[in-house]
Amino acid sequence: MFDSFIDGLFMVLQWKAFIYMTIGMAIGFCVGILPGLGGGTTLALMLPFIYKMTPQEAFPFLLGMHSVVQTTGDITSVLFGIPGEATSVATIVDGYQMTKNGEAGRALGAALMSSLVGAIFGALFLAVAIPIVRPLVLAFGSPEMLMITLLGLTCIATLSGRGKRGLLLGMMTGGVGFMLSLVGQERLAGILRFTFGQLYLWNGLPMVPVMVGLFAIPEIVDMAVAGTSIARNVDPSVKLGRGVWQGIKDTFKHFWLTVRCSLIGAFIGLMPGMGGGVAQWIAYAHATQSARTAKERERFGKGAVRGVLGPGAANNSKEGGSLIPTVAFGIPGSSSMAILLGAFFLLGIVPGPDMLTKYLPLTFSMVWTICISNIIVVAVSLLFINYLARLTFIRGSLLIPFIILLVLTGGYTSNNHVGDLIVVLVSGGLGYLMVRFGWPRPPFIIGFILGDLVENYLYISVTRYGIDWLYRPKVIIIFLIAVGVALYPFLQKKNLLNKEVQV
Amino acid sequence: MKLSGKHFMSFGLILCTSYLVITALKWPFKTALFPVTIGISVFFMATAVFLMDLFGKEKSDSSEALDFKLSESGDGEPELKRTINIFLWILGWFLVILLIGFPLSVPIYVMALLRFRGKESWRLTIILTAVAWAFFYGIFIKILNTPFMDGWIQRGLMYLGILS
Repeated sequence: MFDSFIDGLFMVLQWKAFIYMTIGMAIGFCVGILPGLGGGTTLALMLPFIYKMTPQEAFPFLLGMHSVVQTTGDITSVLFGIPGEATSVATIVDGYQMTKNGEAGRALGAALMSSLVGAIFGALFLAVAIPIVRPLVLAFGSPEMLMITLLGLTCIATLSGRGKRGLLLGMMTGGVGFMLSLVGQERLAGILRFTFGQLYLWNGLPMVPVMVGLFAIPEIVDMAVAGTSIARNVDPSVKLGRGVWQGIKDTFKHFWLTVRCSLIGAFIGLMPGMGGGVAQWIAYAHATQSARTAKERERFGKGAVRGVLGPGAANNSKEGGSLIPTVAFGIPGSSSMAILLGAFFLLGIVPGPDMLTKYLPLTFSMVWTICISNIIVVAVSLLFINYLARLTFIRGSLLIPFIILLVLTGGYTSNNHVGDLIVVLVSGGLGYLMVRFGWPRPPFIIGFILGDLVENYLYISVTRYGIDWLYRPKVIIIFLIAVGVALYPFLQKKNLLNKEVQV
Repeated sequence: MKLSGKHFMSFGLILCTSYLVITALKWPFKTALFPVTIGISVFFMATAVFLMDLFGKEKSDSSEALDFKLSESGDGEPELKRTINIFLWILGWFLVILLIGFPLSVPIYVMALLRFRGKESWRLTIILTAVAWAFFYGIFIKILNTPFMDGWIQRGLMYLGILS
């Protein structure tokens, strides 16, 4: 086993494989920064280039590209409030707020370093977990998976607002997300739902334009209304990048939070069909709930560094996690992994037990690729962080045209259809109204992403088990955890207040 | 009792969920199961939020959501006016794309935004417009080969045989 582990390292360090990995990293760096261009899409675009490569060259190329996309995706989220990737939306909540407070360098340092820790943790999780996860994945049927998705939604709902009304609003907007996911041709019976005669809507509402519109347009409007640069009320002579070391130190100061969120990301990545969109929010919820004082909890949403560390770590560690079912069982953990599965077959490799015996060095080379490519990209990003952070001092009137251009092109490249632009505008309007009236957007996005999956699990559970699916022991346990998660903020608040009164 | 935007938001959602459930009840079981379950749940939650906002005592301003907060206008100009203004500019870009296509709209609209909305100097406007165009052309047209649709004007000219 150890020999294979070392062989995997040497496989990546061979000059040809290393050059391909570097090219992949460069592409991934750009793709991560450009909103709308997803890692999955780029993986698909890169597949034709691997025909003439050996597996030892192709996987460093593809994984080198894919594993850094999440890392650089955080950069635009932090600096401009535009998610570079669908999986880096949660970083906006506190990261962009820190940028507005003049702490862009610290936020970027924290996001990049936690991403690196997350990526390495995810890769190690992959290395360790392959032989032992099979029984775990197979023990979860549709009823349990349904409850896990509802547990995820409950986690997000609890962090969406304060008090009973906040929890209710969180659950309600999650439900609205589910409702929007209904649009399109239903897969079980082929019936068209809420397509209003539009062919464009047959495939449902596209995820990227919805997310870009929902999150970026309210930020643009806000910047235009404030009439300032992104970094507000901050003296331009202050070096924004100076906080970088503080951000890096924050990662190690809250190291166990980073590790726990990495674990959450890796575990969610392991679950087929879940993915980074969910992992980042559950990690954010965990970061919020692990606040030690009422004051610390109040900081979330206003620029808390812990709110950057959690999602940063989780969205990278989930890559290692989602490789596990792909490599070990041929079950893709996410849409990107489904495309990567295509690469396996193109290269003449069948995922499954062979990956743990015959191709074990190749499997370990994937672990090394994720680690090495993230180390290099984080180092390069940190070198240029001062220049990146200075962008936030540019006045809004100069930035707004470029941000709108990115938003519109990012949305349009989803399907190359004018409908994408309409979706961007409508979801932008909806996002603005939600922010204006205090409706939380994170549960909405979770509901929207998981809608298809939840419907499928619900249908299978009901048709296969009838009402009995509710009495399965694992379902009851997960349900009780969800209830505990919903009640936890109230108990925590009471506890924190009691402690502060005693002090 | 004063009605505000948040009341209209939750009331609008009550109407939407009612429509969803009524529509879904006509579908076969497997198609209707999820929409009806979700529709009814959200209907009751939206009704509860509406009633809480109307009669409840709990504080319900936007600051309670853990999301970013909208800023206030920096120089005393009414926020609503600035909000409508920027929304109209964004909508305007979309309409220009429809009229003349994406590639042509980029330099024209970036220039218009910088010069007329941002009130920047002509020199800076021209330089930044060139940068925006080079970025757009280089990445989306040359490297990614993104197929951009023609605008209505180009299609009209093609139809008339003026453009090939």
